Amino acid sequence: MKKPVTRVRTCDVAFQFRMGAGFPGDVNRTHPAAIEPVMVDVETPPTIFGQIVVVDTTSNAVRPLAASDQSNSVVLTPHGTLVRSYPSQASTGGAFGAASLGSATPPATGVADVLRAGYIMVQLNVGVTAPTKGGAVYVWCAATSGNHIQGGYETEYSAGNTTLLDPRYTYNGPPDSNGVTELSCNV
Amino acid sequence: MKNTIINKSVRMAFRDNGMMTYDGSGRTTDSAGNQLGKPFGNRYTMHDGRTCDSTGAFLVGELERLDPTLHEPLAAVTWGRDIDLREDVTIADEISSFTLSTYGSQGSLGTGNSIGNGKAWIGKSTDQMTGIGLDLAKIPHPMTPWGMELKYTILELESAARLGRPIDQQKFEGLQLKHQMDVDEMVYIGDTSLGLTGLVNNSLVSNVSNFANGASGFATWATKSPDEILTDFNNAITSVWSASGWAVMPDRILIPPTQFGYISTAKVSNAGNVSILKYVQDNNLLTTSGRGKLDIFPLKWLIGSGVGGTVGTVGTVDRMAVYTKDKKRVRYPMTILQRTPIQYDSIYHKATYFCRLGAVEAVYPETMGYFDGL
Repeated sequence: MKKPVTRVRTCDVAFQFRMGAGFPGDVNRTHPAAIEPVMVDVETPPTIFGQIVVVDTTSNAVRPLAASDQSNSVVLTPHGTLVRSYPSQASTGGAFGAASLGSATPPATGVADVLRAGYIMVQLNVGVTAPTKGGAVYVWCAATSGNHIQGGYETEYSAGNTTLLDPRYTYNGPPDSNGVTELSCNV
Repeated sequence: MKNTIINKSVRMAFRDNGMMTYDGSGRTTDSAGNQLGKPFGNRYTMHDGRTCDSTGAFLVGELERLDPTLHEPLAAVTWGRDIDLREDVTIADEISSFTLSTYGSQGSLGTGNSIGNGKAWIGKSTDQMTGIGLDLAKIPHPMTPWGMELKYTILELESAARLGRPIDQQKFEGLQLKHQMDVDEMVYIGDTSLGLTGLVNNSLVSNVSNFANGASGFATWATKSPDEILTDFNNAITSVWSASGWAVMPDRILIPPTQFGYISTAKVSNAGNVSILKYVQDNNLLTTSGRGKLDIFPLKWLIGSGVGGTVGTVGTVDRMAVYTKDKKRVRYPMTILQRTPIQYDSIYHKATYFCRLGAVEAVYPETMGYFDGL
């Protein structure tokens, strides 16, 4: 899977009226939250924190959703959502190690944390209809098309492109101006 | 955060917090406000050419000088400037309320109660005296609990300390800023979800009107002459003074930043050498009647907060808010920010910070007025 470059600026640093909602992969409430250590699938590692991951049965490691996971009828039960620990060592950077806000790249190998149950901040694909509290969660499984990033969060059904997640996964309200919103998982 | 005005009564001191990396370790910043970082004891060398932070730990080159100063987000709150606190409320209180008294008396002679009549005259042998009537209203507002959790793992904490950019202190300052910005919003415009209003959109204030058009045919100050702007000020003061039974002349006027900038720089006339603002400060009703200085301040929450406008959107309907900054007239009830003891849960350290935030109590809404379209 091709890693997306920084698509959005997830946070500004001059707050006129209120600050943003947060950062993808941050576990936003911990009473309680079930966070499980997992191996990252080296063939297809997760590409962004807060991403829905499933277990690759060959490697017993987690990977993001792909075209093979797409279904117009079967509801998908994921393994969890990739958690962002902070701070952690950057393994890549721009020129001279430059790193913009909200550009954190998850580790491509080794151990990662996955939220099995709890509340986590996630990044919506650009341009999707704003979710409502309790709204169904769709993931774009088909190949990236324009703003619809593969493995990214969507709010509406798109035949041949999206997969609906288990109803225990719901959006917990509308996003901020950067498209960051809270996801309720298995709560 | 440097611009943040934090009321003393709600300021949380770092000291004795028991949760900060730097508790008890002496100075944490130098005289310029730079973070000094956590001392490692001996000289510390970055063997791999990397320094510890979007992941928070960055790649740094051998010939690179990374400024260790923490550059926090820019944000300013002004509620501490514009309203007094009601401090008797506690974390146990679910409602903050007050009573409002009014009196009544019937004239004794039965000649009516109009101006010039209705006094309590009696004769030398009268035994049927009139009495005084009393009525009280009780005005309640909810005190809504507010809470946020501060949490990190020991591993995150140690990594951040190694970087010299303590996650605990940064998260705490972020939480404080969130608290301050939430209080700021509650004080000025209240909360949409809870249906509460604030200082500049209070539902109890009925003295709301549009400024009259100037000679240009428009009401905006950019199109008005200095005389017309001074008239707007004095009309607003007079309107509120009148609504309060000519008892309370307002001493504070808040206007949007752009209009404040305009009257601060535009001269009162081509022959004059003072700004419209200075001229207004010298020639307003409050000052010329010998009742002190009229405070005029810029306020971001007035951008677009007029009737038909969108708060925060420039170019919609802006508002001027006129009131008296006095705890007896208008105030804000809130409790101090406090926290739970640290909870050690596996490798997590957690603490919840909480308080109760009330809604602006416009005790005498007659002493407040809103004027739109400037």
